[in-house]
Amino acid sequence: MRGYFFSVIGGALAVVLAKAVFIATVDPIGRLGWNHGGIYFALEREQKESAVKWRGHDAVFFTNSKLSMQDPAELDAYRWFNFAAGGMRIEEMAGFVEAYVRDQSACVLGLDVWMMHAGHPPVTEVAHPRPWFAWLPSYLTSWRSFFRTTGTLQRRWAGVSPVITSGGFLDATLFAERLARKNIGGDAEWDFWFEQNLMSNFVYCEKRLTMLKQIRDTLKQRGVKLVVFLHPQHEQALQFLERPEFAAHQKRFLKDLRGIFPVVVDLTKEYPDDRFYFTNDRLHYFPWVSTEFLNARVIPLLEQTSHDARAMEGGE
Amino acid sequence: MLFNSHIFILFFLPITLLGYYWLGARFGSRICKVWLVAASLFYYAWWNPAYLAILVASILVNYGFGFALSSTADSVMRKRVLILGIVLNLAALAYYKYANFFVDNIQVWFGLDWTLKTIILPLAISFFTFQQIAFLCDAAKGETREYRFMDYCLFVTFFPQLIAGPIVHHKEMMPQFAREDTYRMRWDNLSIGLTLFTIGLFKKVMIADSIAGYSTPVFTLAQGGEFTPGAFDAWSAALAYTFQIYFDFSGYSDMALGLGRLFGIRLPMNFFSPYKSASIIEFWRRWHITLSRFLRDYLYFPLGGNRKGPVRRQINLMITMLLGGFWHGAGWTFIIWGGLHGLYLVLNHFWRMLMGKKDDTMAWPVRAVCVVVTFFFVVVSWVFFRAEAIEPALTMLKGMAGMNEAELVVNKMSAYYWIIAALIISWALPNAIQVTAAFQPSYEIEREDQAPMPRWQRWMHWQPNRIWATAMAVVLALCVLSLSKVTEFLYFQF
Repeated sequence: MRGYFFSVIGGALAVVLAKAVFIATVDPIGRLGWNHGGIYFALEREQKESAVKWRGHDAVFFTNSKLSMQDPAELDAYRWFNFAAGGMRIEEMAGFVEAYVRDQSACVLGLDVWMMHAGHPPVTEVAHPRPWFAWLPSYLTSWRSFFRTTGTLQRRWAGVSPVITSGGFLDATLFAERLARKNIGGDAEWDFWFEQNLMSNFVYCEKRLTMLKQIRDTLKQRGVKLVVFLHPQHEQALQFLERPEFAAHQKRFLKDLRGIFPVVVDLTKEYPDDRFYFTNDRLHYFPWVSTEFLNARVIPLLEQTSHDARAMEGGE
Repeated sequence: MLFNSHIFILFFLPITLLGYYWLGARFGSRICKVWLVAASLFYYAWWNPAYLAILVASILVNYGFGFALSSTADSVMRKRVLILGIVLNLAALAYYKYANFFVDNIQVWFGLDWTLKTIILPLAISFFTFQQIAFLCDAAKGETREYRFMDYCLFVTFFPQLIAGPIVHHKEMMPQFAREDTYRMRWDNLSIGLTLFTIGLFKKVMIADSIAGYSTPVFTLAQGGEFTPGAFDAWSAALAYTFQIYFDFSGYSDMALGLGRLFGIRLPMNFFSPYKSASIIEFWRRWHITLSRFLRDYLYFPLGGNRKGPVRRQINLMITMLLGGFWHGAGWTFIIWGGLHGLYLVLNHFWRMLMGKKDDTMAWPVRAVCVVVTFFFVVVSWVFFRAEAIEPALTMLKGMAGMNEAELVVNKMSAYYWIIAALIISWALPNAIQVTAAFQPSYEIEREDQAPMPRWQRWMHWQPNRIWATAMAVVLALCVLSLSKVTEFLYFQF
């Protein structure tokens, strides 16, 4: 009986450990901090959650995919960490701010009115920061990690470029290549896309205002300076935003934001031309655009805010 | 914390087990019990620490009532104390589990504008409440001895059975807790416990969770009201759920039995291949055995059982099953599910009266037909159990009857491959209890139909040899490596 017990435990452990060691050695999404070859497969938010612990920084920005390609090294004043991830929701921002913005000096939030849409699918499980004992065994034993590991090795050996660069942001060239494959081209197609994905059945979610207040209060308590900006929109998106049924939401959103945060920069109408956006993509502006407006319009305002009570009086 | 999570398997279980036997060897059983109660409370609190207070309060109040009942000689007083104890237990259950249901229905029926904030159901409240009501009833009859407080705490909180059963009886647990050799490490307990746990984990992780992918989408779409499943989808989803709930719950029960045994405790078995039943009467002797036992002993018998004539017997059966359905959840679908099984049982008894035959005396072809017919009725009832409202359940049933025109097909043919595999496992293979029968895997429950394995299957008897060790090691590793998406056990919600 003793032999049986130890054979079962020992045999199972040996298999589990072998797989764990294999995954840990490659560290395919950089969760353990020793992936230096680049990330080939990862949900962005998964990778960010890992990288934020290992990459030295004193300021952080949160937003959706519009800043996923922003190289933090090109931004002024601080050593930035890019915490932008495709489809990031306010719930996630609140969770990540709570968990990871503690000792930094500054934080920037990039928002747009669609983040207030109540109809967004529920936040996925990876979006919530989890303690090590919850994610580590799963990372080291899951089949997803295993296939990411074998895939990473395959691609490295084949000389393929990583999806997420060593600076922790999406490679813009790769992104553009992927967009080209998406093949949403002309005005009519984009009209349809905006209609279907952003405008249909829009419901303004009040609950998210509470989360924004929570972010503000947490950062205030921790002495982290905060500036909020509204993303620039393509002229075609602006046409939708100016429709009467939607303009009211946009106006209300801006008013609510100004009621919550001391400094809100509205860039909605600042970069409407096609030339600022990727070909075939009227949602994402080029990284040089964001570098420009962050350095010129957003980051300087951080210097003007201070985390004493007076500066926050402009809030609610 | 779930049995099928890394945190449980890699941290909680090994630490609790090592601490248990180390403390047992060094300080004796008393400290061991304290350790196990503390670990069980920690396990419960992991889900929501706030509700730990409810569990602790329930234990203290019921132990107090039990003490009062066993120390009072006055029978009138005893009856009053018992009624008060039961009412308090049921009131707690009614508030946490049924208040929203009652208020919602009063609103609909009487048009009243009552509002009640959503009350979160404390985990396992149905289980520990029933367990303690049974204790109070027996205390009133003088059938409980003077149990020690720590033994009582362990009886209620023992983590392998705390969340989803088996619903244990004090008579089978307390003597085990009182025995000194329970706390001594024995390799046979560890080996059998590990084997049962591994089999249960396999059922849950590799079968129930895989097959769930064919039932959940169809039921969810039907729930939305915009989708009417055709026969292909409706049948595949209903059958997939039939096997999902079986492998989920019986997997949980096997794991509970295995965990109990790792700590030297034999828990009562909860499943005995229910889909092999040749009648609904037999089904309820094989499905959720400890709940059936509780309902029989503490509801059906006190209602009069079969002592008051055949008509009253059928009424009692119906009441018992309706309440059994309601115990599972505060919803009309559960009541209908219970009602259907009540009706099946009434018809089954009527049939037996006419035919005068018992299931075990049937020729095998007749039995095979009966098994298929029973299975069919069970599948139909699961549709109500799974659906979140009556309307989607009826939509599903219409689909199964071929009355829906399918505009969209959700499931793929692979659903039926899984269903056939699950059917073969359920009908043709022995269960975990039979496989390990030589080593008494569970606490004995008096059963008339605990069939041994057929001769051709006897090679499957568990032995602590290399073949079994290798097989179990591979299965355990495979399960642990497939745990990355932890899914809850279906019976946790009840």
